Amino acid sequence: MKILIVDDSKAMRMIVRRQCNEIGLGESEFIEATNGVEGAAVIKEQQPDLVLSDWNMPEMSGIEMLEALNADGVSVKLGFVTSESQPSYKDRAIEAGALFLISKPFNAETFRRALGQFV
Amino acid sequence: MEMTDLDFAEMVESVFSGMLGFELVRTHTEGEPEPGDRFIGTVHISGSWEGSVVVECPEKFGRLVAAAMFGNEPDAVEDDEIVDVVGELANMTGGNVKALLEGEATLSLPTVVRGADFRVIVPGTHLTRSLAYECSGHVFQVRVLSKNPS
Repeated sequence: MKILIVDDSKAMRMIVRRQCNEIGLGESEFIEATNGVEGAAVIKEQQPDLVLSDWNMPEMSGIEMLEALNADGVSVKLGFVTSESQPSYKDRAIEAGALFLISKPFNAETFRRALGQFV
Repeated sequence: MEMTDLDFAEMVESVFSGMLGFELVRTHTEGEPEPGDRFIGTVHISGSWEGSVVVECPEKFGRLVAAAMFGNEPDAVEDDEIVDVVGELANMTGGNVKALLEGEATLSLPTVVRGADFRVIVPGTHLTRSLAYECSGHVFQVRVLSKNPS
């Protein structure tokens, strides 16, 4: 499985990857992007099986990236891993087709619940 | 904003202890600061509540946290990795403060400064919450500054 992690923080990209390893996705191929513009380009070029994206990023946010992909007719399985947790953000994420929204701080159990279908 | 001291403490501890696995001990904010450089990460919240969340730590503590997050030895940590980590800690704490708000609000991207003799002032705000923790022999602080009336 190919997993794209989109986050402007190198530390968070590493932590997200570590959580994936902990829940049994360690054999996946991990690729990275640092904002929504890069993420959208990588998604179109490499078609990852799953995208784990931050919400707030420079250049283009995660939700803007997902909405832009929808507008371009690009289908992607995407979940957010973000500091945002207000209901309006979850509603907007689900409306745009996101599979889940994991709020920080999180642990392996949170990841297991959200990503269970991919393990 | 309805945020008790207990809410704030649980939030800070969930970020630093729950996610990073550090053991924290509450301490006081007064006293001589640790010599050497400090890193200060700040995020701003605007909307139904206006204010800022500030995370301040000695360079040596930032290095320890970055080492834990990146899986490196502290001496191998680069400065930009500490900036990244302190910014992310401010971001996570700010996001959790924002989660307690009623009404819409937005969270800024974090800014991080480093230095030895300076302080961060957010004009028009006053201090509403402040916590200090001792961890691995270092003291770090987390503060909430509000533009709203007390």
